[in-house]
Amino acid sequence: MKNNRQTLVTRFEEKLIAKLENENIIITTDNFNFINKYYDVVNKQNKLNNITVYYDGALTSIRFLETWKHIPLVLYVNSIGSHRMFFHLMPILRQMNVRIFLSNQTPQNFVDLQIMASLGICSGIYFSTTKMDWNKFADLQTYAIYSKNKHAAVEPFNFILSNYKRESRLDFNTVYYNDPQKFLHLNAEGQIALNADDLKAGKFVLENISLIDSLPDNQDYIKETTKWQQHFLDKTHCAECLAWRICLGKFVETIDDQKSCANTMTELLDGVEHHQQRLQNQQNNQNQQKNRR
Amino acid sequence: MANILLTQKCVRSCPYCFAKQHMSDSAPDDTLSWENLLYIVDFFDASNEKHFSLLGGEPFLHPNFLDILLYLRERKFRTNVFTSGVMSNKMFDEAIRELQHFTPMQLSFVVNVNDPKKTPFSELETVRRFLKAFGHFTSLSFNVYRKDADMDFLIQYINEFGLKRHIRLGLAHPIPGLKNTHIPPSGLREMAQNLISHIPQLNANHISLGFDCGMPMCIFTDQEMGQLYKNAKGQLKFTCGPAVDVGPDMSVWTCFPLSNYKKTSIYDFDNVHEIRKYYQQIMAEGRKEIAGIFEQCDDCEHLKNNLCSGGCFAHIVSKFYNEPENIRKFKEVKNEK
Repeated sequence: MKNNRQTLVTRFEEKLIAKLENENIIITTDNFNFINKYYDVVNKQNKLNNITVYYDGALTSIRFLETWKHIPLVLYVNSIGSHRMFFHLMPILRQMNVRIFLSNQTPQNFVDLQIMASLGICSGIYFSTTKMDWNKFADLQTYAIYSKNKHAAVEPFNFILSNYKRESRLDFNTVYYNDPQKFLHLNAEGQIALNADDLKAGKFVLENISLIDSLPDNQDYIKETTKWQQHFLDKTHCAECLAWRICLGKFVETIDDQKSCANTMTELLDGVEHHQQRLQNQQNNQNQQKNRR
Repeated sequence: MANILLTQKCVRSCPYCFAKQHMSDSAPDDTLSWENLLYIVDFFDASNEKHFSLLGGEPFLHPNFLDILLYLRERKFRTNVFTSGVMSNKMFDEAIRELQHFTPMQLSFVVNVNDPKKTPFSELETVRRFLKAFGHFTSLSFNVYRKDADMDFLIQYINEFGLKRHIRLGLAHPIPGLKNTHIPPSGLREMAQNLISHIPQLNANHISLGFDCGMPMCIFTDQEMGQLYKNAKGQLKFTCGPAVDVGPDMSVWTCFPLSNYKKTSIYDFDNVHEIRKYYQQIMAEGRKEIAGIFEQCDDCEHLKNNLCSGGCFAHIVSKFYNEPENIRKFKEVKNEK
């Protein structure tokens, strides 16, 4: 696969896939019928990163097939559905290479993400509404960071925990493929957009993948990758927020009188730093023990 | 084994109920939430205890009861459920459907039964229905609150429904500051004689007895102890220690009769061993004042050797509860939390 190149995110288009070679590819779809075909076709001359299914329904209404076991799947669903049916799905879910995202639309989803993670299913929250239940979000992040027990990863907290560096900012939009330094979005003709919204709006920065080497000098690309600076130019609340480094103003539309988002994200930052300190201490202890020997 | 309360609602009103104080202090619609359940399961998992009992009220009244059992099975917890066996037809049908793939290693029921002669017919019918359906998961529990308790029906139930051949025998304990029906220390010897009179029949049916906490050893003669020892295959217990109960609101206490004595919160501890240690210390302090429920407990060798705890700690708390100074202290403790 091509090194240091963005992963390409596209809907399945056989002719387009045939034109690509040695690319890392994510197929997006809303249809479960052709999962196996996507896997086989993409892997002929490219590498399938995963198939991401955006499904407007509950997890428990999906008929999981044994033939999907070897296919990396990412599912965006509205909810898990009935708990009972979900628990009955567990034997097959455990065998799948799957990450399940639930929307932030209902408070129950935040709890269900904990249930999934506690049962070893990788999961995450996605933001489909600006009406955020910050208390539930805080509960989920507490679980993701401080839980007494081992559990599967919960995004975006897992991404933040794994990638945070004290001296630099971190964009967790990577989790949702909306980071043009890591992901590019292609339409059926191979035109390239910087994120999912631009793709939807037909706003393209390159006509095809052969022009990708010119991307770093592309003005739209530069603007997109530096748009965080606008918060400082506009002096928004986010520019003063302690948690700026891990949030980059993503929740500016949700800011309320209590600054719930700032409080929650600052707690998250504290948690991440605490987590890293703990890892550092463990490392130090191990090194000390080695030296003693 | 620790106990997790799923709900405060109960379908019965047993005269000896030692959860009375707790129930009267709690909102009846207070049920364990998924968030709290997840915390509790993680808490026990982190304490290396992969088993606990689910209690109520009546656990089957929790709106997510069957889902909770399915979840605990996925977490590889062994779950014991204390139930009356009384439930709606709808719940019974669902339970039959959902629990058929559980094994007795994953799930067990302890059905607390009362004397059928004193039980309403409709209740009796639903209990019998439950025992018939879930007999292979079930052992019986019987709380003795009368000196002349009839136990023949327990043997009959075990034989009729193929239940586990073991009876968990509890003593109804007093609730400090409240009235419930229980046998006072002076009546325990008579109760013991009645109990021993059932041993030959229990032996003939290969049914063993096991004591719940707080049964004093000295209410049995040495000869009777021998009979009990043989019946229970040596598994006899005359101790009283913290059981650890966790409520839907995450409050923690040592056992139902003492639900208002030094109640605290699960969040104050890192693991379940810390909770036990906390209540063990409290009970040890109390027993320094009064060793046991009988005067002779003060000099008892068996108590010193930890073979017997000298009866239920609730009797001890009850003894000093009515002293004005202690009422004040007790109320302070109650209000602390």
